[in-house]
Amino acid sequence: MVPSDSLQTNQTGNCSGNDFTRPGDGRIRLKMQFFGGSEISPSPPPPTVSGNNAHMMYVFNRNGVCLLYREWNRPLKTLNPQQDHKLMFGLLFSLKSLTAKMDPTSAEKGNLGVPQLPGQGCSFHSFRTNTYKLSFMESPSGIKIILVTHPRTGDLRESLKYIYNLYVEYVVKNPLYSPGAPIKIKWIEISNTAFDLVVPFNYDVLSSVMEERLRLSSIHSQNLLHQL
Amino acid sequence: MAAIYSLYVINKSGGLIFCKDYGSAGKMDTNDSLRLASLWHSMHAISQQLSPVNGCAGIELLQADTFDLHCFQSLTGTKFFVVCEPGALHMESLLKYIYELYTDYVLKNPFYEMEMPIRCELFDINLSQAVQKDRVALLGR
Repeated sequence: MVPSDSLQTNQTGNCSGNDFTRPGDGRIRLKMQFFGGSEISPSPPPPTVSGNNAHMMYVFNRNGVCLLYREWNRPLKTLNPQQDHKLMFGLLFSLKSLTAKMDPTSAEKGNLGVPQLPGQGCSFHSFRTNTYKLSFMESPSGIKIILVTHPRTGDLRESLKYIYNLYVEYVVKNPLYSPGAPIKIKWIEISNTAFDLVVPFNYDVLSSVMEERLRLSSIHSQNLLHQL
Repeated sequence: MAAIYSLYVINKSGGLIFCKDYGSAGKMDTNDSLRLASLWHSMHAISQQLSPVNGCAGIELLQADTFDLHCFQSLTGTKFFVVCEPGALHMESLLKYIYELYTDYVLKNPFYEMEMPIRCELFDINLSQAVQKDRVALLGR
């Protein structure tokens, strides 16, 4: 089975965008340039505020399946997990159609509530309430990454891209991962920050190649943790 | 110069009671404005449900790719929100000032019926002055 997201990884692989000659879809091509190469940058973006300010993280695929949910600090739970994920996805979906319709800079906006492709229409990258800030990123294949943090956190777009790169490297490129399945994660339970998602698959089922990659990623994570 | 694209006021049950456009591209018809207003009302409520900690009062600022949306909710549940350029400053104080104008010229108008669309001349006049002032960044409050 070919992972649907391998589209991305193949295309982002060491091409700077100009030598990428896939015919047709200019929009996707633009996005590919936007996300850059698939190599994980050597250092993650520096944390904007020090301390434990991450509350939750969600990863959804384009069908609204929650691939990954992680919480670090969530004293208030009003719903059961499934309903919570559904509500979160619904909120993002509706906010996206709201921003697409409200966009004051474009004249042609279509009808409210019509489903849109990722990258189509005006989207949003964060919202803030008095108790939390939600940062959101959608990849061209429809993967949504959501970080819920302290309201005074700065711009997390770089961090989200970094997390997306980790997802591409260690989940999409894992041959044992079937697309759409929840991600099984061996979390490193040391740090309480949003940046500790670094070993995202099962130890038990690894080939030697994967072991090597895993080793590299945990070195990477150690570096990460040192920097924090 | 902070450009304001549009201003909306919605009542506590999500109905649009005031809407003014200050030059966004592509006119929105009344039905669309009504739908957007009630959609915002619901999203505001859902964001409170999803809060990881107690005491969430709903979205204050939504940062989209091409605009910022600042929202102010009064104690009685009336929401004021303004759509402006990304990074526009002093929007919270502008919203509070608009709330003041609302209490002065709408709520104190004996002919105004609660929760109904706002048709008050004095409110319109003062509002356009406030927004003009803000356009030249003089609202030093």
